[in-house]
Amino acid sequence: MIAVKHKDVFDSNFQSVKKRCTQYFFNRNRWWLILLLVIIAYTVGVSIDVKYLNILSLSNLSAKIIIDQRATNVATIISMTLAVVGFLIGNIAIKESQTYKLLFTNSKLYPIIYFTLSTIGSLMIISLLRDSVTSEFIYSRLVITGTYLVIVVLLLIGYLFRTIIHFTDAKKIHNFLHLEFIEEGKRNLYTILIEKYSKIEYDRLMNDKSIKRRNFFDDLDFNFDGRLPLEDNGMATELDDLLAQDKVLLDVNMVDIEYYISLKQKQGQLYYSELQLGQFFDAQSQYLSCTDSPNSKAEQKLLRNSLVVRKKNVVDDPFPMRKYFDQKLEEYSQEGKHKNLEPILQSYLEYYSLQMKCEVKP
Amino acid sequence: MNDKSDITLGIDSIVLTGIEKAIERSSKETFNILLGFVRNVLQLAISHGTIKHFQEYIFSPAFIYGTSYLKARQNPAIAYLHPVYSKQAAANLKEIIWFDIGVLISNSKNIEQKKQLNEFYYWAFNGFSRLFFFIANNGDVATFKTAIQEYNQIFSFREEKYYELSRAKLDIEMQNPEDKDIRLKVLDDEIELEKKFSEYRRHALLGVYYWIVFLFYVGKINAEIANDLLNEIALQYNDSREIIYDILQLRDKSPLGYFEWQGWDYMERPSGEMYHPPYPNDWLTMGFAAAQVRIDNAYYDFSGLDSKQLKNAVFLVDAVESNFKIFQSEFEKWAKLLNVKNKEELIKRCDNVLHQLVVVKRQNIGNKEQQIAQAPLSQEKIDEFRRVIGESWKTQALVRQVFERKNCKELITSTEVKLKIIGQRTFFEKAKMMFIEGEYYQPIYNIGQIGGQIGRWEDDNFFNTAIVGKGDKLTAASILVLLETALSSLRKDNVNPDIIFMSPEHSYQDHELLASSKFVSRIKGVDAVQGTLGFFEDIPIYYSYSNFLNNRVVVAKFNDAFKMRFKTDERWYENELNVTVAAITDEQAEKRLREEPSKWKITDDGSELSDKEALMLIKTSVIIDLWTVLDFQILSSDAYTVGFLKK
Repeated sequence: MIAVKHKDVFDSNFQSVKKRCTQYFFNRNRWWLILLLVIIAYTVGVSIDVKYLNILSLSNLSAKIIIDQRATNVATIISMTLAVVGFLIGNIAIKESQTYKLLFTNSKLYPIIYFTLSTIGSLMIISLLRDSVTSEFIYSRLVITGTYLVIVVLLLIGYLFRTIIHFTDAKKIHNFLHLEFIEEGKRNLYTILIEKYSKIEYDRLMNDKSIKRRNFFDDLDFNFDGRLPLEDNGMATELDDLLAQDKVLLDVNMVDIEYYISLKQKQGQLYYSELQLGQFFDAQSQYLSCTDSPNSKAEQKLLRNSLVVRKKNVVDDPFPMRKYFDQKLEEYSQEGKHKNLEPILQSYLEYYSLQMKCEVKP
Repeated sequence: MNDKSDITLGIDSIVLTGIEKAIERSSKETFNILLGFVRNVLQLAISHGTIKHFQEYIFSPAFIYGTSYLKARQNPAIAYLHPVYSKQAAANLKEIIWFDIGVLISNSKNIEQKKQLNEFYYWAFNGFSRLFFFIANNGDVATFKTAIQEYNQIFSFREEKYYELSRAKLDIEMQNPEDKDIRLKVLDDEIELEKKFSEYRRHALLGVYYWIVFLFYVGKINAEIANDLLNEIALQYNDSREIIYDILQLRDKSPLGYFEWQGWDYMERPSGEMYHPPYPNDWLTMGFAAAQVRIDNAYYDFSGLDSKQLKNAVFLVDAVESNFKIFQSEFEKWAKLLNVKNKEELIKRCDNVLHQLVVVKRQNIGNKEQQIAQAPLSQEKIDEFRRVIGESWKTQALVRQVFERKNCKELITSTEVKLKIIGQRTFFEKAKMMFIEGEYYQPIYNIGQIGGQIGRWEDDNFFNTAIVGKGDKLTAASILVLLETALSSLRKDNVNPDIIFMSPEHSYQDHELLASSKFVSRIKGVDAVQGTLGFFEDIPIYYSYSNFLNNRVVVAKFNDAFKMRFKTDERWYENELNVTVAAITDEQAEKRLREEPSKWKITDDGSELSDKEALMLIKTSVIIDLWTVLDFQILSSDAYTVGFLKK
């Protein structure tokens, strides 16, 4: 619904899936994925034998000679690359942790290094195996695949230089920061909208089913026990106590809730408490109740299981870029660097426009 | 940023801090860039229709002024920039109203969108109002001049629009085309918007005007500065009705946070102490009163006010009057601000204003009375009235109670026998308000007493009959002797008296009687009959408040001496007391006006009503019939005697 209502702000499904996959793949903890990829490349290289693709023929002897050379080549390239990269990184225009972080992600430094290292490692192993692998076909194929991988390494290093060079230009850096800032804004906005719409949708469902909202004054009416968790109903409090600590609502199973409603509605007027995703929420087994018949244990369980809760994540800061920008704004205005101020304010303006486009009117 | 409802939360305060820093460092470029950003966000908010973000930034110009003023005082080296910043602050607000909102609203064809944009106008004027407030508090006359200049530029282009629309409306009404209603509706909506705009414009300015007067009153600025500031403000009205209409609106809306006047304060309050900023209603009224005296060309038009506003107008007049008293009692202080040379002139001006304002009191009464005159009588209210009157009558009709107890009543059913009507038909002025439903219903307290009056008249009638029938036969100097004489005289005639009537005061005032062993007071806890004062020689003493019983005693063998004859009607209270309420008909009203024109046409304050108004006034009265039908007969004049106390 958010994607439909706020098309101009949010990506289509395809784009967002693509974005998430890329993020996953290029994460610096995914070294094993790169390694796996290299292994797959060798396996494919060895196992597939299509005649008209075999344009290169390599004798066993040449293969054994070439493999050492490739290993040396790559080692040289990598040492050279690292030295140059190190130099470039040392000379980027804005030396700040945020820009370094951005540089590492944008240049895909980690996956490229992982890939290069995997390639060197594989070449070393192939060189070691020169007398153990008896099949000439297999060995020459390993060498050829290895060489292709080396070529890929070259291309990747080229890409790496190209992107890192951008970071010597402050304007370009700002562009990257800006994109990241807006991206962060969109992410957070999305969460906000999901929470807002979840409430609207939930209220709508309750309205459609003519269920009344339980309000504060109803809860004060202590004689009206159907709406309050009962004391002797040990399970309710037990369950809720257990789950109420620092948990936020992550998802609601509307189908189950509708099932509950269809069961209970025959027994009397139903009442509901507000639900909103991302909010703290207790009384998880009593957010719907009936005036005439208190929820049974099974019903409480059903209600409880319709909610997905998660411990509130307090460690992750959802606004690192915003904080960075705020800090820069303060700094530049303090120092009177008006030229630096302009691009930052431009980004803020876009940020505002994002928020304004997504105002949910009640 | 912990509040997750808006990703932009908190940016505004960082930007404002930035502006403050830029002013402090007199970095003009940084200032301009940041101000430009503020303006951009405001524009963005207008185009997206998000009032929330607009509110966040619209007070920035006032903030800029305040900061710049403060920094300039702290550091005279940067004071030269203060006028520049101030001018920019005001100019930005002007441009927001004029271009940013104005252009959008004039391009918009959709009335709903226009209404939404009008909301932005309110906030933009609020921004201006806040700016003026800061400037006035600082008594910064030079800046005030510039700011007002900018403010005044906004209007020329709007005023024409209003007249254009009004003319268009008139045209349609004259030509009477087929789609008249639809077109009028559209125009009315548009005119309403224009009206709102000019209201905001006037109210922002009036607020500042009245605030300046208040600042002078509390001694925050002197008369010279106050005069300089006030002279800059030209209060212009398109319509003479607006003067009263505006102040009523301001007084009505200010408690609801209109223009955020509730927060306006003229001094730093010490922390940790309870305080409240001045009440807007007080200073708005004081400002209004001062403005009327100062301008001295009072003409007030109260037409078009609704009943609530008329009611409020009466309060306003009283409040203005008490402010006038302040001006007059502190003449020396106020003379310069109010542009008066001597106290006589001040009094003359105040009187002139008041003389015109009091008209509204009458008008308000007129309006109220019209409502009352036209309202139908409420049967429920009449029934309640009947109950109250009836109860009161029953407790006071003491003689009737005795007749009931002694069982010597005779019901007359024949229409041929004419009994006395005891009671009255009352033309009850302005009493209709008791018998209607709605806003003007008003009970009259203690109205029940008129029921008690009927009971007393009955008693009067009885004692009158008794006294006339017998004459003051016995006299004595003390009540004790009188009673003894009366009893013995009756006994001499072989009448065995069984009742004594006496005024109640003797039973507790007459020491001789109290000391007598023959008298047993009810106060002594004797099991006496209700309505009695006690016993004299074991004969019950009944009392009545009738004046005829003053200084008299009536002693009798009751059933032989008296009889009460009465008539009933099932429509009456307990079938015995007639209570009817009737509205005044047109003929009755006209008759009364013919009979007493001056009574109805001249009001308390000396002004004269028209015939129509006077008739309306008459019709706020009701005719109330209250009576019982009975008479008292003397069966045997030998069976009782009347004694008179000679003092």
